[in-house]
Amino acid sequence: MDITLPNLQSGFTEFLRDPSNTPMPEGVPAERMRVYQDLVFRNIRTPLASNFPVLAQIASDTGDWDALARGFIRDHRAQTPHFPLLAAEFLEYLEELSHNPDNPDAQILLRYPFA
Amino acid sequence: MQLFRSSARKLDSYGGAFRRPFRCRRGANTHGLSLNLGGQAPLDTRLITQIRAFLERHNACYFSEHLSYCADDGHLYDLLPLPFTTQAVEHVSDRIKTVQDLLGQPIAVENVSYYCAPGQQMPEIDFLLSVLEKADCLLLDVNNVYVNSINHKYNPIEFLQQLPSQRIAYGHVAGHYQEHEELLVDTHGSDVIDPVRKLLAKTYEIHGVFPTLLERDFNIPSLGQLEQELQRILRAQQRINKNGRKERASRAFAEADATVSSTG
Repeated sequence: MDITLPNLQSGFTEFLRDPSNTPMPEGVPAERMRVYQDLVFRNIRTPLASNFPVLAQIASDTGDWDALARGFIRDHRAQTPHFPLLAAEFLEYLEELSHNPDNPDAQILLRYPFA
Repeated sequence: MQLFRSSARKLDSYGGAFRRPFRCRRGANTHGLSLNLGGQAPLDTRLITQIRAFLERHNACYFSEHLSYCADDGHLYDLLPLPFTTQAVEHVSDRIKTVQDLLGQPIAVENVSYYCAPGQQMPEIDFLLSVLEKADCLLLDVNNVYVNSINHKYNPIEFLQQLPSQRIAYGHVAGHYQEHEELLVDTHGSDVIDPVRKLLAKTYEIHGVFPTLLERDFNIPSLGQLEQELQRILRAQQRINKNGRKERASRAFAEADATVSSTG
């Protein structure tokens, strides 16, 4: 039987949220999936870096900034339809993270106490 | 955090800095990115109410959105490829109709660039035509037709010829990024390339002239350069109007126009 629409869509977004731990949707070329992966990651990472320039700068050499952006996409569910309010969603994510010491990314936050 | 909360409040009233009605000679048209028309989450009725209030306050003529989805249980802020299936046709058409009811006016939906087609049961053109049949108007993005025709190896003119002229409300044209010969990415970050310009002229030839928006989001050049690009679009429109062979595709607009956007 064909896969239902909700399953096709959730398989797709689950992969985009966490590409390293999710199977790639069936029948889709890896190169084309990577286009979406990059679009989503860059579209979120770039504006966040201009909203949080200090954190982005000092945390980028260690890879921590990418890990936070990746964690945000994977673990946070942004509710605002207004893209310019992405920064507020990111702050919410950092707050969630600070209450969740079991998440390995919470360790990253400890290195940047001002965040 | 306070700063963001206060800007969130501003956006609640929608229009932000533009609280006073726009003064436009030709009427404003609006374009959305976050309605998640093809998604599974319930439609964001609060957002739709805000859009309706915005349209009324600014006396805007049209609202358009993408034939796509951009969220699961949270926003991903990107245009994801709707599966080309009969179930998706039903699903997205029903949601478009609901949005139209809530807005109290028809909306136009835009054909998007897609890089893969998960669960594909039908060609893109059949999917698009089925949705248009059920849910009305098309915002035809000619660059997206070109990008898709390269990425999925089809003839863009044959694709365009199958579209119903009377349903084309509006048009977009833009530049894209070439990853390699067989993969183009719709970025709105560079000049419109010659083949896309020719395809737009061909589209006017087939369907008549429709108002066309030049999209540019990144690497924005000087106004003079953008003006030149607009002039090229206008000349293509005038060539068709002069020949007078075709009725205009859309009569809703007082004058066929070319405008530029930097908002996507």
